[in-house]
Amino acid sequence: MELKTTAIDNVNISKLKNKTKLERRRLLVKRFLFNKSVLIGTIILLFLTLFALFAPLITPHSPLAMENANRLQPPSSEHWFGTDNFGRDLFSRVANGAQVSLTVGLSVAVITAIVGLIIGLYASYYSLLDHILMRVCDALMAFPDILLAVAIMAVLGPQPVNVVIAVTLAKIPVVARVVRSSSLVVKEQTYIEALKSQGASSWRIIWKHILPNILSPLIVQVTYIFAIAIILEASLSFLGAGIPAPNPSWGNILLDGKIVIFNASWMTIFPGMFIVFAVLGLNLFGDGLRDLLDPHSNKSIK
Amino acid sequence: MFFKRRYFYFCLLLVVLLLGGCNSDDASSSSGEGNKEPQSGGTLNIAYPTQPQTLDPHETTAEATRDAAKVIYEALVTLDENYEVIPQLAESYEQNDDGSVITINLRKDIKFHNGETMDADDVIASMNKWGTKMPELGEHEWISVDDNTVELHLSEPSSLTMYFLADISRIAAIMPKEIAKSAGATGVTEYIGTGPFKFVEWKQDEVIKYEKFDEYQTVTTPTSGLGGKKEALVDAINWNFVPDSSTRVNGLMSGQYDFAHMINYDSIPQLENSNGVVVDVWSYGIEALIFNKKEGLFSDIKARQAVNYALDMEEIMGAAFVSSDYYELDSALFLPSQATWYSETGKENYNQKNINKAKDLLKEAGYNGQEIVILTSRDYEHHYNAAVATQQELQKLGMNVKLDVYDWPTLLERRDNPSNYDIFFTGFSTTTTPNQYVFLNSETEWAGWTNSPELDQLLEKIKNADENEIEKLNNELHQELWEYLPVINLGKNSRVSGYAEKLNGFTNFLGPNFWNVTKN
Amino acid sequence: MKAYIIKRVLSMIPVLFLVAIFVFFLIHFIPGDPASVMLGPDATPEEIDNLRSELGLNLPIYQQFFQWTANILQGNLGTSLYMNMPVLEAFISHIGPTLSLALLAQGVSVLIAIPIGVLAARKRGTSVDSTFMLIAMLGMSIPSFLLALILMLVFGVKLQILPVAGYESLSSGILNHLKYLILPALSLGAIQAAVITRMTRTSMIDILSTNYIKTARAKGLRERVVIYKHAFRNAFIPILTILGETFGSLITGAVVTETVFNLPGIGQLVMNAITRRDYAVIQGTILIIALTYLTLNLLIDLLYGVVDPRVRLNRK
Repeated sequence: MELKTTAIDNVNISKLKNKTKLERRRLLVKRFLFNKSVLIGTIILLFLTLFALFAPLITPHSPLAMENANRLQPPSSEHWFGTDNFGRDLFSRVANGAQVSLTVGLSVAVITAIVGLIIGLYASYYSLLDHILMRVCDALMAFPDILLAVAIMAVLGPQPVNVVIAVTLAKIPVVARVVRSSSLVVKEQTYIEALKSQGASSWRIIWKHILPNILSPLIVQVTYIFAIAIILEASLSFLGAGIPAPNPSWGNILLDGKIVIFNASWMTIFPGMFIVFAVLGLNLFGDGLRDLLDPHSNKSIK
Repeated sequence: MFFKRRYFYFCLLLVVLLLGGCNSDDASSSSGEGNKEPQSGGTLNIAYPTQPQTLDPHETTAEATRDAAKVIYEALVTLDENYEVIPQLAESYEQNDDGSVITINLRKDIKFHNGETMDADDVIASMNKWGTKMPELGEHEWISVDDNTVELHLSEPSSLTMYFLADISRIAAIMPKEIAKSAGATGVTEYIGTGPFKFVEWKQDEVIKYEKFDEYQTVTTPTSGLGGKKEALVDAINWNFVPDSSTRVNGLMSGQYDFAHMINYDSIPQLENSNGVVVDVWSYGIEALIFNKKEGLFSDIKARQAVNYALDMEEIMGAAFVSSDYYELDSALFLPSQATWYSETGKENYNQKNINKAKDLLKEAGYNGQEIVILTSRDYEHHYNAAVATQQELQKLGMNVKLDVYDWPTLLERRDNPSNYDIFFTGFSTTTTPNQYVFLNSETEWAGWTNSPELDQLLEKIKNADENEIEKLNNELHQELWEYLPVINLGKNSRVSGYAEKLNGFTNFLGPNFWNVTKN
Repeated sequence: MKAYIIKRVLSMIPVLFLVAIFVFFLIHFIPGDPASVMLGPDATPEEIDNLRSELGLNLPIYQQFFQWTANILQGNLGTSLYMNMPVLEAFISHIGPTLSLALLAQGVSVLIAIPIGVLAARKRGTSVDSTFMLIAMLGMSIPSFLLALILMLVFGVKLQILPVAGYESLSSGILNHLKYLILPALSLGAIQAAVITRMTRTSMIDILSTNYIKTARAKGLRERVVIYKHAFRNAFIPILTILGETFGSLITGAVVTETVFNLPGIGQLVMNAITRRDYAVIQGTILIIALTYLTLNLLIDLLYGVVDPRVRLNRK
């Protein structure tokens, strides 16, 4: 509306462009605020990020300091979430665990996105490469992800970095496939054909023309991978093959807590709550983002 | 076209099935309670943490094999409650004057589970198979005198031979000769013994089933330790493998299991508060810190002594075994009940907490801040906790200590390479003689690489000593242990099992024993 | 059609070969040694070395690999070192619990999810819809092991109406069998149910807004007929995909659930084999799992053709 009046005015084009951009952004913000899923998801994620960043600072307790006399104390004003089986402060452990779990999840999401993107893009462009890469992806996907991750952890040894590597390797094929199938569709478009016949380099076509068109499904997929990575890390740590103790992560607090679940249920409840919270936030965010970025698609895969 | 209706019926069917499932559930669990009514027999449900690799007790010293195999198998002699040798399948035995020949008279009409009668040939075939895994025996030969008498000829006579035969960590089990001879690289695959229960079936990763052996012939002397009167009072035993500790506890509390082996120390309060469950605390053996004496800092005896002077055993044992109910600060290698071997010699070097002396020794050893690696695994929570506490203690001493955490099999591999680590932790179930502690003898080449001519000599002397010399030699051995420090014996520890109150006659002696047990 | 199937089956061969290479080298890179695991912690290096050579573990790794692949091509998956039985036998003895669990979990989740999904789609935008979708969202966000712990706590220990762990095979009676599987199936099926509910809902919404449904309604057909006869049948295809995918992941991914409930299934088999370094078992089981996964994918694709003749299979 405002846009129309501006267009009638005799302003130069760059100004107009700027205005359009601004307007688009405003529209996006509006839609964003209108989309309840994204909104709630964002609030949850924001809260978790703040929690992970600042909660470890506001507690006087170290997540590692053991105090045998103080074992398994229920939540109190001194220990907000109680203490664990070594007498360590659970709030501090959950807070530091949030850092670990979220960092692992985020790293997995970012790395799978980048690697999956490269594999998917090039696979879609070169059909020989496609055959090879997709067979490798098939083979990786034919492994149950948790078993693959456990085996990789056993090979590499228990280090937080290795958790990221193990989960990333298990999830790259998923992203690569999504990227590949979306870019195959783009690649068939006439304008790509046109570019090709004009002699544009493959690098230019892939990165300048195909990439922007597949970003939306990629971003949505990566949000889900983030959520899955958090669950997978928790499961791995819960099986004792994840983040090495004594470092806290939500999964290995739950592992410690499983032994004492009947006399210290807080050790299960608090980290459990945070996992559910984080995954819920990401799922909501992903769902909303999908509707936002691609209003036509209603497919809810995962 | 009838899609909808078909779907509807399908759903209906599933609902009915499910409801049926739930209802009958209650029914079957109440009928399960019906079984609990007083009656001799019944089935004992055991929850045991690990599945053994084999039930052939000759093959391994793994406790999972020992515990599950001693239900089926018996040896010629066994241990009474004072860890002394008493006859089992032997009627009697005697040793000639120089100890080179041991004559063993066998009990007559002992039946194997396959119905055959045990004779000297079975004993010889079994003992030959067992002997290949027992280098401690030295060169030896088994000879059949008649159907019911065998002789063991030794080229290195030793006062310990009968202990070896009675030892339970690698049961000298007697099995039929055809089976003993059929053994492959990983032992026999048919499990036939003479014990009170016979093997029925083994569902991998699930359960081993045993059944009462009706023709079992018990010794009539009173029950003591692993010997004396033994009777199968239940009809069957289901030896379930339940790797998860909390699942064992939950199953015990809900009545699904009658016995749960190795309970996590933290679940004990919860079991004590629950009705109908008895918590059983039993002495296990020692917890030890093993030095790598081949490479690195601890090849220097002074550095080992420094660590020993520094450690506060209460901190370490407390972290590992939770409460003083489950550990004891004691410098001896053996349990106080093992009268022959218990010795407190050397305790002046135990639990000194003398940081200054430790610092001096460390300086003398030339320590300059290099990284010390402790190898550990979360698969055994107490070893892991001991490692974490030791790390803290050594950091107080100004040492730079790193924990390397692996799974147990990886640790087993890494500990065999001297450049991988400086310290690791492990536990030892109490043995019947000092010669069976692998960390004392240089010949074993066991991880940590003990290499002390003094210790070797003492062990050799003990092996050849007569009974009155043993006390003195054993004291010297303990003294040397605390000087040379191949390992630091951190203290005694107990393990915990739980069982249903209605279980009568249960004993734990070198592992749980299920003969003479009723379930009423 | 036939050519398509042949092509698909042939394309499975390189994938399986890759899986074989991956799994073999992955697990042989794991430090640790089956011989030392078998002999117990007090074993001396000499004893371990003897057993290693008896078991053929001292051979160069490439030789072991060729031996293994040669055996596989002859249909022999090898023998478990630890369990002393052929791998195939070990696999078969562990498949029961996993299959029962997967079927039950799938059954329960389909039973709950599809009607709710359809209902939510019909009541789109109402509070009924958003309530169910919120529950589904929550269901998707609870890791199954967490749910397992909660269920165990409530039904096993507090109420004592279901066993907390263990397994009875079907031969001990179907009810006895089901008794042990209800809690694991619920904890495993919750996520499936959530996924299927959401899939059903979106799929139904898509279909309900198409012209032919509008036409059917305009013709004055009863709502039930429209929903079930016309809409649901078409909405079923994407649901079928999810069913196939999730069933595969149920069979292969129940590792954690099996661990928590101590079910002697395939997941436990592989987990135990990893800690025991029982190479043949890991390799053989993963290969069978991979084969199952690929076959399942093929079957789903073929089923498309059956359910919806519009799907032409050779398009891909």
